[in-house]
Amino acid sequence: MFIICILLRYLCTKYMRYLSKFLFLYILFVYFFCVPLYSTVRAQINTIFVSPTLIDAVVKPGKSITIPYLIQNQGESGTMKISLVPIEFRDKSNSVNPLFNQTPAIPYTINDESATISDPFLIQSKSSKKISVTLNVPQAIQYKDYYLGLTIELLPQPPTNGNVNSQIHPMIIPLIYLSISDTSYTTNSGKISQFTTLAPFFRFHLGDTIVDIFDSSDQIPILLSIVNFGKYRIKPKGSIIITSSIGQKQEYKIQDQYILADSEKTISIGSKEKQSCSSNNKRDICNQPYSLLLSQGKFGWYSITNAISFGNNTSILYGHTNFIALPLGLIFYTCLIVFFCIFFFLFFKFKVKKN
Amino acid sequence: MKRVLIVFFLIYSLFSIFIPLSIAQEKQESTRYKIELTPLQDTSSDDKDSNQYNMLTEDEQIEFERSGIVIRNNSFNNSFGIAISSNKISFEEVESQSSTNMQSLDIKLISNTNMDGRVVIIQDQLLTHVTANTPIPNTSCDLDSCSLSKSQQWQDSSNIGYGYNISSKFAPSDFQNINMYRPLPSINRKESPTTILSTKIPIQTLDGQITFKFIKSRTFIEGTYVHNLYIIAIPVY
Repeated sequence: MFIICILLRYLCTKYMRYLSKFLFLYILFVYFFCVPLYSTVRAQINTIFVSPTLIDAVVKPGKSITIPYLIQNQGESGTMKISLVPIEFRDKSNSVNPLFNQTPAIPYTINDESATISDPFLIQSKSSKKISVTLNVPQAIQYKDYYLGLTIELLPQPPTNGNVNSQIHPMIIPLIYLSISDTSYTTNSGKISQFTTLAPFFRFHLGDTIVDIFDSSDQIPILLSIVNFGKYRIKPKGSIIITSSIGQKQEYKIQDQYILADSEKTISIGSKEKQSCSSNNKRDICNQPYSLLLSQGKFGWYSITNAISFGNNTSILYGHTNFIALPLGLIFYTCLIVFFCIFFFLFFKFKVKKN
Repeated sequence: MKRVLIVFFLIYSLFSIFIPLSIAQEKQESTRYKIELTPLQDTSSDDKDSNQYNMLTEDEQIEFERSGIVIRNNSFNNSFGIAISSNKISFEEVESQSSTNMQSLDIKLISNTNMDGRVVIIQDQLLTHVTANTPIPNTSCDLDSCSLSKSQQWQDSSNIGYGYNISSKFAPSDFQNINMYRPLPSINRKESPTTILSTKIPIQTLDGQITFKFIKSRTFIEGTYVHNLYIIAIPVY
């Protein structure tokens, strides 16, 4: 370090007259080249954020609930529109459908710090806005779950005359899951609809038991699907245990997740970060919904059991399935070699006998 | 010696396959629960009216009885947002000649924590002439083969219409290359938004590039065509 300082000082004193020119050229370079390049890469005209992302509440009829939100505009100044819409979740994949043309069954008002917001408003660049959404639950309302979404959108500029214009509306929708009930008691409405291994090499029945055979070099996907036929969302708790033929046990916990009213869901189990699906898998399991992906290298008989509950003091639902993992490739090539050995042995034996 | 080895191998194979069957039928207990293994089909009850339970914890129950409101779970520390590189896709004038046009947008879903999120897309209606009210149709791709949920090749310039391609590792798997396109779903046709970016693993950033393609026809009326296109970021819980 000391030597570098001495060297720099020597260079500065010797080439002082060139230093100012160098600095000038350097500044010009940065201003005309780097700054425009940087801004092109970083520019996102529309950037909006919201917090919180989800509210899960239970409310009695006749009560009001107020939810605060913080909205940030990190992009350019623009016109923002906020409203509340019912959200419909469809099928097993939980596909989401904001019902833009419908008004929610629960009357609501949206306020900022000073007034009620009903019309679009101007939001400045790099600014934030605090709003609150008040839901006034009517006394006469059906007792069930209501799924709502707060739609926060940036409105586009007017269209260009004579052109073909797709007017882009960037939108974010934080969710509100609302249970309306006068009691906190409900019926246990969950049921395991599927618990099985997927895409086996071969499947057979052994009495009442279904057994899947996998190649030891393959990943093994497990599907656990739960159906909720009730009026309120449920949160399954529990785990699945995989027991090998030598008695070794491995437990995977069910992740914290909702199964919405009157829907079915593929349950996530274990840490998804640790389950990377290999893209060269010929069985195309990566594009199928699965709950847990066991790594390669399994060998022998495995028994899989699950134990799931949906609330305090509810009965435990359980399921059971099996699979066998064998080195099928190794077995195939060994059989092939044995077959050829026997063939050549018999061939030469026959030839020698003939001679 | 060979016979002994073969007999040993056979016995081991039978042991490793059939003995665990009997183990699996046994009862298993842990500190948290007790399981008696039975086939899945017999496990849960169809009697929906039994089995009442309290959906709140004891503390939540006290709060619910007192105020009538309980917030069971909130994410006040969590935030998420969307970043889009432009607020307009604008193609040049529709003149009396056919041509192919493409424009792209960068889309990013960002959150402050790892979360399951998705980006969906929907248009309010087909691109429609502002005065004549005539629409530009959605693409049906080459050989009338694509749908709202399945992209297909769209390279033939005689197949007029409007469609999109998404390029991202978070895009649906059917978008295998830049020539694969899908039509857009419409609100006025009561169609659901289509997912264009999603992840199986909770993650902080999802990004991709969406390309809109428009093939003109000589039969289109000249003038201004407009529709609204909603690009929506939504968390998944």
